[in-house]
Order: sequence, then structure tokens, then C-alpha cells
Amino acid sequence: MNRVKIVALAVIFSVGIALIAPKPSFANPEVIDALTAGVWRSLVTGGTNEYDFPLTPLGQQRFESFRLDQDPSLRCEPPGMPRAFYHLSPMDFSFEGNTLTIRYETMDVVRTVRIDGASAPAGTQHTPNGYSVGRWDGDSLIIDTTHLSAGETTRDGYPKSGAMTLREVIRVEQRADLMYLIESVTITDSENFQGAFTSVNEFALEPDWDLLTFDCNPTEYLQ
Amino acid sequence: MRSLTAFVIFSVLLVCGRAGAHHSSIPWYDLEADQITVTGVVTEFQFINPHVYVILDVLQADGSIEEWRIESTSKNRMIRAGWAEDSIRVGQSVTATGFPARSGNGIDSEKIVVEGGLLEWGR
Repeated sequence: MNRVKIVALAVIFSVGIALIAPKPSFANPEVIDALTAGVWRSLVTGGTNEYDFPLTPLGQQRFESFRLDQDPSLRCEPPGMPRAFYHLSPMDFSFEGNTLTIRYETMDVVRTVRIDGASAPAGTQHTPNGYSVGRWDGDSLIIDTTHLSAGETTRDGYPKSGAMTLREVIRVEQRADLMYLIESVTITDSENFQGAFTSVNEFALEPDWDLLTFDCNPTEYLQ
Repeated sequence: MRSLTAFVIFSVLLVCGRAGAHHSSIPWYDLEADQITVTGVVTEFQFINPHVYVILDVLQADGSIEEWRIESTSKNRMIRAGWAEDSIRVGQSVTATGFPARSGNGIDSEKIVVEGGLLEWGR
């Protein structure tokens, strides 16, 4: 084989590897600065945890059999995703290398998102927060989550199965002198939901806030 | 003693909808009912997460005392609103308004007023 053929094969091999390898996505540094500039406070101050999830018959059955007095959060067990999000808790973001950490104040939930373009490895266990992979699409951060463990989607017992997937689209937006975060969450769960369900929530930046520890105390209610 | 002047007021407040009722204690309260207002004397202030509680002795019309449990939002939200562990003290008079418990003497409070408005929490 002559040298030209060897070089040509090497180029073809390199291009092939480049095409199939995971591709890290790159963020606008200004967006990173905005996301990490403080604590994000939900603009919802009450009353909107009333979602209308399109339940399958099995999902309806699970919803109706949920016992409110067995809600794990009453025992201070962190609820995991997407319920951690639906708490509309104060949250903050930090980036280190290809890892994004999102902390939710309510129940001290800490979530890891990998932004290296790789999908969940084989054998990934199902956990309350699942396995989250992020990527940038322009100035929007898109996070896909799989491998969630079964539980509740909301505190009032909408169910969650291991088949659930989440897609979060997060962007920041400046209005007048204030910075806002807009996050849409699209949920699919073939066991429990008929089709996809999307909700959108907005948060305001509180640059002078720090997250407070939650130090949860188990709750007892009159029956 | 102020406790002798404490009394129970059940009043229709014509509050529309379920505004502010956002936390996981909701199933234990009747959000379809009219909101009620209770005034009593503080016997305990639990400044904790996930929810803050104020325990009141409430004087009844027949002279007896009933214990009421007032539930509010999280400690962290109240801290950011300027409240602290000593914002309410045992012996103070407190008026709370909110949805009644389905069982027992309790309120999911929308509003707490301490000592005639010296300190107020609303949501």
C-alpha cells in the first residue's frame, strides 16, 4: 500500500471517529454567568401545583390508590425528579468541567447533569433523580433525564414509573434590569400518562441569596 | 392575663379560590370550606421545615380552653420574609386565618398576625 492510500485511510478513519463520537456542546459564557449568578426564586408563590396529567387507566388506578399519609416527603425523604422541580424550590446552578450541578433548597436535593454528549451507560441504575444528560442548543440548555425510579410525580400522588422521561429546556432572559429563568419540563411515561405533558415555570434571579439548608423534620398529621 | 381575653372567631372571609395553598399539608385541610380565623395565646412556636407551626390555647365561649395547631409555610420562606425563631413567643396573642383541618383543631394558615399587627405573615 502506498503512502497516499495510507494517508487517505487515516483521514477516513479519523472523520468516521469524529462523526460517531459524543460531541460536547458549547455554551455562551454570558449564559453560564447568568445561570450561576445567584439563587433562582420561583415566581409562583402558591396554588399552581394543580396539574392535569393525562393518565392511562393504570396511571389513574395508581393515582387513586395513592395514600396521602404515606407520602415519603412526610418522612423527609427527598422526592427526586420531577417532583423536586414541582416543589418550585429555590435552586442554583454550578458548572465544573462537563458536569452541571443543580441544587434544590427544598429537601436539600442535589442533582448531577453530564454535559459531555454521552448517553447513560449500559446497566445504569434507576434512581430518584435519574440519569441526566445536558446539551446546549444555542443559548438554551436542554436536559434529558431517564432511569428514574418509580414513585410520585407530584405530592398529591400522580404516579411515576421507571419508563418516565423528562426533557427540560432552560433559558435565561433579561427584562428591564432583572434576570429571569424560564424552564419547560416535558414528561412522558408510557405506563402512566397518555402522551406528553409540558409545564412551564419562571424564576427570578436573587443575586444576593444563598441556598439555606432545609433540615427537614418529619410531619405528623391528625387523621 | 391576655389569654383570658382570647376568643374564637369563625368568620366568612369571602376568599376566592385556593390561592396560596401550595404545600403538602393540603390533603389534611378542607380547601372547599370557608376560611376561618382563630385568635389565641401561643403555647409553642415550632420554627421548622418543612412547615412552621404555632400552637395556640383558644378560649371558648363556655370558658374552656381548646388547643389549636396553626400550620404555615416553610421556615426558609419565613426567614427570607424576615422572621426568626423568636418572632413569636410563648404568651403572645396570635390571630391566624386559613382553611380548617378536616379533622381536629387546625388551620392551614394564609395569614398570621402577632400582637395586633406588630408582626404579620401572609401569602
